[in-house]
Amino acid sequence: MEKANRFLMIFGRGREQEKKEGGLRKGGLLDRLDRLSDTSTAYLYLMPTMTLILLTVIVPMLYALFISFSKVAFTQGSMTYDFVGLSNYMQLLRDARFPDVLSNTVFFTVTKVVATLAIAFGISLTIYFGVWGAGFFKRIFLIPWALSNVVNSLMWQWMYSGDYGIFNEVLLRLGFIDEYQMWLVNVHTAMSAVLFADIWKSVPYVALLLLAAMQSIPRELHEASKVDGGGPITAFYHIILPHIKPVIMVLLVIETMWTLRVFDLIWLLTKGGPQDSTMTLNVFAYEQAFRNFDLGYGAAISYCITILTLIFTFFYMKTLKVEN
Amino acid sequence: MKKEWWKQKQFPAIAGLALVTVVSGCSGSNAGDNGEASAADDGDKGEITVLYVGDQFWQDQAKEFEQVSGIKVNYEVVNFTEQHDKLATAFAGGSTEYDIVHVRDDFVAEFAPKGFLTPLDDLITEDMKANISDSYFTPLMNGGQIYGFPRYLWPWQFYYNKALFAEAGIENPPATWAEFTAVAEKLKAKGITPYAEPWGETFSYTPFIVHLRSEGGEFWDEEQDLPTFNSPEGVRALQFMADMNLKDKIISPQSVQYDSTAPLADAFAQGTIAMMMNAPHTYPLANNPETSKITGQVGVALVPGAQLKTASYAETGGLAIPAGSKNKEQAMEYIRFVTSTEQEKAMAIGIGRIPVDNVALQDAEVQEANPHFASVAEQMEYPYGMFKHEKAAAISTEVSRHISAAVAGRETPEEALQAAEANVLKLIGK
Repeated sequence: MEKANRFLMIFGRGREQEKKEGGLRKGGLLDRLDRLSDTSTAYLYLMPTMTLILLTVIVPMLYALFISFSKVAFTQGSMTYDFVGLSNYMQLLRDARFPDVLSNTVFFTVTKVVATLAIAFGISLTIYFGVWGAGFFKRIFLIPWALSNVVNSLMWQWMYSGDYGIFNEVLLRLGFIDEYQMWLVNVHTAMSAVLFADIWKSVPYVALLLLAAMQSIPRELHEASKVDGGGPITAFYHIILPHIKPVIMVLLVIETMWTLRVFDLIWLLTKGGPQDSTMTLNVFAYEQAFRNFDLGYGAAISYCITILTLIFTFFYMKTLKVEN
Repeated sequence: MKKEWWKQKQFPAIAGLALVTVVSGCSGSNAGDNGEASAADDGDKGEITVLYVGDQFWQDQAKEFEQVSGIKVNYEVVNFTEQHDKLATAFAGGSTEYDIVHVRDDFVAEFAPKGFLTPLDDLITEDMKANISDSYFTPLMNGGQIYGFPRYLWPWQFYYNKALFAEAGIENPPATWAEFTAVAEKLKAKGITPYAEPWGETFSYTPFIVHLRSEGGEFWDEEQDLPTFNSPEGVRALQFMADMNLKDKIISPQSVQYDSTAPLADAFAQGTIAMMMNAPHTYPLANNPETSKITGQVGVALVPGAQLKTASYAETGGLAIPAGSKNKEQAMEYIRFVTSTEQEKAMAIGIGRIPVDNVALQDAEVQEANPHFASVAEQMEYPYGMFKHEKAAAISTEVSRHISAAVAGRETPEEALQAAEANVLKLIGK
C-alpha cells in the first residue's frame, strides 16, 4: 500500500482522493503496483529518465560503434555501410599522424587538468581563508565561466591576433617581446596559447566546487587544529585535503572528460595546426569525418577518446585510492 | 502551507501555453514539410531558408526578393571560410533545413557525387541562361549535370598601392615575378612592407597554384585524376615563395595567419602592405572611405608571370539547391531573381563581383564603377581554373600543410612537395 500511496502522491492524487474513489481496486493498476518488489518499483520510477538517456546517449553511442566497424559511403543521397571489422581501428594505429595526435591529446589534457586544479585551488583557498583580495576574487572569478565556448574562442582569437591583438600590445609595452608575435600560427607557441585560453575558462567552475567542498568542512575541526597549535599548512594537509578528496576525484574525472572533448576552442583558434601541433583526437576525428567524409574512421577515433577517458579515470582512482 | 507546484493556479495556464507553443512549433515544421499545401491554404507563397555570407548587399537582395515574390526568406549568415564545413556536417547529418546554399567549383565536385545537391538541368529555363556563356556553367557541373547556377566570377588579380609605389619611386607594377622582387626590395628599403599572401595552413595551396602556373606547371591532371604539383615547376614555385620569406624577407610575416583572402584585403585597405593578389571585392573595399585608408590609391594589374605572361586562380560563385530541400520550386524562384540581369548589375556596382551575365558585364555603368574589370579579360586568357576533386577539402588541407612548412623553412620545397604528393596519393587511394 505504501508504494501505491507514493505513486498517487507523485501523480498528484493523494490519499483523500483515493478514499473518495473507494480505495484500491483489486487487480487494478495501483493494486498491481503495490505488489511490485522494491527493485521493480525503482525501475518504474526511473523509466522515463532511462528512456531519454537510451534515446539520446546509448542509441547514438551504439550507432557510432557500428559505424566504427564500417566503411560508410554516400551515394546519391543515401548512406551505405560495408562491415570492415577492425579495419578503421587498425588504420588509426598505422596512421603516421596518430602518435603526434595522441601525444598532443595527452599533453593537452594533463597540462590543462593539472594547471586548472592548481590555479583553482589557489583561488578557492584565497576566498576560503578570506585573505586579502578574497572579496574581489569572489565577485569576478565566475565571469570567464559564464562565457559561451564560441565567444571565448573568438575573444582569444582577437586577443592573440598578430595584427592587432591586445595580448601582443600588453607584452610589447611590458617589454617581454620586441614585435607582435603570431601566437596561433607558430609551432612553438600555438599549443600554449590554446591551453591558456582553455584554462582561463575552466578555472572558475573548478574553484567554485572546491570552495563549496571546503565550506562544508565543520568549523570545529579548524578550531581543534588551532588549539593543537596547527597553522594554515597543517589545516590544509590534515583537514581540507582529506575532506575534499572525493570532490577532487570527481573534478579530475569531469575535467579530464571535458578536456578530451574540447573541440570548438581548438577548431576556432588553430584548426589543429600549425603542423598538427594542436591536433587532438577530437579535432582529428572531426577532420576525418567531416572534411574527408570518412565517417567510419572518425567514429573509430572517437571511441579511442572513450578508451582514453577510461584509462585516465582508472589511473585517478588508483592514485587517489577512492573506492566509491 | 505551500502548495505543490502542479497545484498552483498558474500551472494550467503555463501548461496550456507550453502546449500551444509545442503544437504551433509542430505545425510550423509541417508547413516546412509541405510548403506548397500550406501556401495554398493561407494564400502566401511559402518560405525558403538561405545559407549564405552576411554581406549587407546579399541580405538586402533577399529582402527585395521577399517583396517581389511573396516568398519568405529565412536568411542564415555563415562566415565564408566556414561554409564548407557547415554544409558538410549538415549534409552528412541528413539535414533538410536549407533550400539555397553557396557553392563554388570544388564544392560541386565534392558534394554532387554524394547526392547532396539537386541537379538543376530540368529546372533551369532557357531565358535564365540567355545571357550566360556555357563556360560559366562548366565549373559547376558534375557528371554532365548542372548542380550550381553561376552568380559571379572571382578571379585573383594583382593589386598595388599607388601612393606607396610613388613614395619608393616606382612607376609601374611588376610584369614578372623577377621584376616583382626588385620592386619589393625598393619598397623594403623605404621601410614599407612590400607584399603579403594568404599562407594560412588550410589555404596556402592557393597562392602556390598561381606561382606554379606562372612557372608553367599545373596542380592536377584531371583526366588521369593524379596530382602533378610535385614537378620541377612546382619546386621552382615553392622555392620562390620560401625565398620571399626566408631569403629576401619581402613578405609580411602576418601572411601565415591569413586563412582566406578577406583579412589580406583588409590589411591592404589599411595601407599596411603595398602589393598583393586578391579577388575583385578588394577594389570597392579599398575605395570605400568607411573601410579603407587608401581610397583613390588602388592600382590593379595582371598577376606577374614567369614562364607564362601571367596566371591566376578563380572560383565561380554559384547557388545550389540541396537534395534534401522541401521547397525546390521557391528556391528556383530565388535563383531566377538574384541572377537576373538587373540584379547582376546591382551586384557588380554594389560589391564589385564580376557578373556572369554578359549584358550586365558590358553595361557602361558597371564598367565605370569597376575599372578593375578592364584587365579581367586578358587575365582569363591564361590558366585560372579552380582545383576540383571529390576530396578537394582534404587534399588542399594536406598540400597547404606542407606549403606552410616549406615557406617557414621547416621543410625544403622538394621535401614538402614529395611528402604532400605521397599523402595525397594515399588520400585518393592511388
